[in-house]
Amino acid sequence: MAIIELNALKVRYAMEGEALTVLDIPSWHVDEDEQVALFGPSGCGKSTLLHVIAGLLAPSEGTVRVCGRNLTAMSEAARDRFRARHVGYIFQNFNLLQGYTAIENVLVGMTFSPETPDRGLAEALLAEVGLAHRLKHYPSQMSIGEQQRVAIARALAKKPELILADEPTGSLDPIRSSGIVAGLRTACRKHGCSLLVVSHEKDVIAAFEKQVSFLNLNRAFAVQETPA
Amino acid sequence: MSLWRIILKSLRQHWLSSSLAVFSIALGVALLVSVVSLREQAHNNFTQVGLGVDAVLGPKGSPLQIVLNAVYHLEEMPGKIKWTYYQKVLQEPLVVEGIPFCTGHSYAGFRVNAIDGRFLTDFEYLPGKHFSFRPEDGGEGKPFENRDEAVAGWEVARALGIRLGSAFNPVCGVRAGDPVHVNDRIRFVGILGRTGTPHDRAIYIPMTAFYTLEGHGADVAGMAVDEQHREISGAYLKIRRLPGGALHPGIMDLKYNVNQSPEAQIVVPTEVLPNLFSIIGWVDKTLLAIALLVTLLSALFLLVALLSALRERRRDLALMRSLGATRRTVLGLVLSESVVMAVLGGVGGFLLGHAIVAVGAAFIRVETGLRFSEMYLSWADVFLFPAIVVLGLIVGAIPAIQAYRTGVLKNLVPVS
Amino acid sequence: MNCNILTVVLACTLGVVMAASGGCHRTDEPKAESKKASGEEDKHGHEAHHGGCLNAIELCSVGHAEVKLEDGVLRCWFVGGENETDKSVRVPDEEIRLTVRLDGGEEKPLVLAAKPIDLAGEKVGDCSYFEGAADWLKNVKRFVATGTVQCKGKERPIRIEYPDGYDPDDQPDASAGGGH
Repeated sequence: MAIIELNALKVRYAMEGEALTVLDIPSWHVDEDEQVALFGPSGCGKSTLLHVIAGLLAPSEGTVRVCGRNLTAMSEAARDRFRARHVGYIFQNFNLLQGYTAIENVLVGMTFSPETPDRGLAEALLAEVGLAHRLKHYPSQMSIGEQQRVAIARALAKKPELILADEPTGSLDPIRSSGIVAGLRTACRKHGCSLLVVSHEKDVIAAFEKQVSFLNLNRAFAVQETPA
Repeated sequence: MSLWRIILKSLRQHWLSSSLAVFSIALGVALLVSVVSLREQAHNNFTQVGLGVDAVLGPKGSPLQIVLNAVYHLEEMPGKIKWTYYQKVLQEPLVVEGIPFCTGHSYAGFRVNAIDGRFLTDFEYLPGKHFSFRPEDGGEGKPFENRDEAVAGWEVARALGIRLGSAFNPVCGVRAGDPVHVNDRIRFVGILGRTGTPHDRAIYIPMTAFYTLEGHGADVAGMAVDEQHREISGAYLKIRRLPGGALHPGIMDLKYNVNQSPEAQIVVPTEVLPNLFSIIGWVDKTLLAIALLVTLLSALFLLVALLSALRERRRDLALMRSLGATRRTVLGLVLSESVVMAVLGGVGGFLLGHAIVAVGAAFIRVETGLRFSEMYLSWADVFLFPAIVVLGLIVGAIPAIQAYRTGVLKNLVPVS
Repeated sequence: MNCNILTVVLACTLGVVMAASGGCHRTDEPKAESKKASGEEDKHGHEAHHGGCLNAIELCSVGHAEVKLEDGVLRCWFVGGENETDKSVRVPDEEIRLTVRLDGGEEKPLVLAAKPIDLAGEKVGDCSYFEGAADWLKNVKRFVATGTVQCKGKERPIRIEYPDGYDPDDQPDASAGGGH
């Protein structure tokens, strides 16, 4: 079953009286339990696509189905509630709550889902990403890599079916990047989540079996798959 | 993590502005609570079913002055009335009983009232309550019997350290510097148990003592035995009542009849005292207006605090939206934060307001004998919580709407 | 999902609205009981301190006769003019002779005898209160009575309109200068 299905998807922005099409995808899907790397140059609309899939942005045309649900038929509030339950999002800049400790950041990730925040699960997730000893530390007291791992734990906390990661290693050096990506992939496999990672880093992309090239502005959509 | 913990966390993150907002609300609420409490209690004190006095027969003059002197031991009587006229009033079918008294003396700032002995034994200062000399009621000794004996009210005894057997020389007047009856030594034989009324604040001596104090002259001394020429300051009247307890409506005719006389007037305390409030009404209205103004200003302060906190929190709120919080949830978070701060301020103000009343009550009791309680709950207390919640909702509405309209993507940084 | 914060907030608002509408009336000032207790504001416009009806003696400025009918007894107090209806006005008459016209048109005589108020030091010939009784008065609800009284040095006509009271300013041909 497809975890992500896009059909005739178009996203346009109005700019100075003209419509600028930033996404024009005739058709695309990601299967359940797949881990996909989406690559392309900066500014080609990769983040916009993640926003649409996460329900943060409504497309101008077309349909978006995630986890079997049609997001384009939902209201904004319904999309928010859907995202709270089904989709974990990892930002490039992690976007941790600075006034919250590591464990509190993970618990906030559970707050808006139907699940009751589970402190035991939050501790286990942080232990899984190697931060069992940093539960009560604030983001300002952690390294960049540690902050990203907290963001990963937070994304996993709500037991989502899909995790979207937008340039998750953008702020890290190559050595740490590969470790983060490896850890993310392992965690997703363990928790049964599909994974869609957006990146422009060759090393990160190369680690994925399925890689997708993303072209800008009405370009034809070509899928490149690395042979198994 | 519950939403309430998120709210508390936000308050802690902006603890300085939150504390100041809470404090300013507490201040406004404290003023409101204390002003209203003191105002209501003052009203209750002065309309306390006449404190056992259905009516006062007094001289011509200000009815308010008569009530303040006869019932509250303040002011001075504007004149005297003839004993013979008092006797005539006693003959009226509606008058059940009369207790005559003479005022105009004092001791150590407390009034010394000469009064008929039945006051200490038969008088009901509140429905069903008589004065008591029993130790379990805080009293001691017995009523006076001889001209050189006196009974002290509970507050007087406590303030002056009076014991049975203590003696004093009464002052002929109520002002500082008035002459002292140096050769008239009067002994305390009784201390009244606490009544919680202005009667606690007076010293009582026999009527014969008043007339025969040295220095009053032969004419006055003669009044002790000569009823034809005797004068009194006034008399407490007990009026016949209807089966339900209301004063007999004939009191109106009785009052009218006496008031047409040049000799005296009848004053019903519960009719006269509202005039006191109309006189001082502007004072408490002003105080109330000030308290309301302070509360409004503190509400503005709360608004400013919330708006400035919101500016810093936009990113956090956008992040929560990205984690699945709906616009309504975010609106609710900000509104609830406002309500929580208002409620905290309300609770603080409630406690502070009653503390102010406690302090004020101590002064008022010493100066006037009127009893105020810090435990009294006024209408301000009753409506405090709902009003504070409404205040919090109103003040929080603007920042909450701004939070509602906060864009997620605009306030989160990255775009690849 | 945790408790919906907005639901809680709206519940608080509802509670507030219910509390506020549940009787936030509070008497701000203590009632000035004197007016209500002593007498009601008569239709005449001044206060009738005995609860009766006020009837101007010729003009409001001269004085009033406050009249009350109780169990076949007609009570009449002569009181001051204008707002001075709480002050008695003594008249030298020993009795007041009235002609009472009932609702059906029948006329009957009624004599009000002086009843001096002892507490006010009154006596017959220097008295403000009069009373008259008759069996036929017991079932009377409305009447008009006329007579005369010596008031302020002159014999003046009295007109009593019970229970509404009499004010010459209310009459179509009222004389000038007697208004309230």
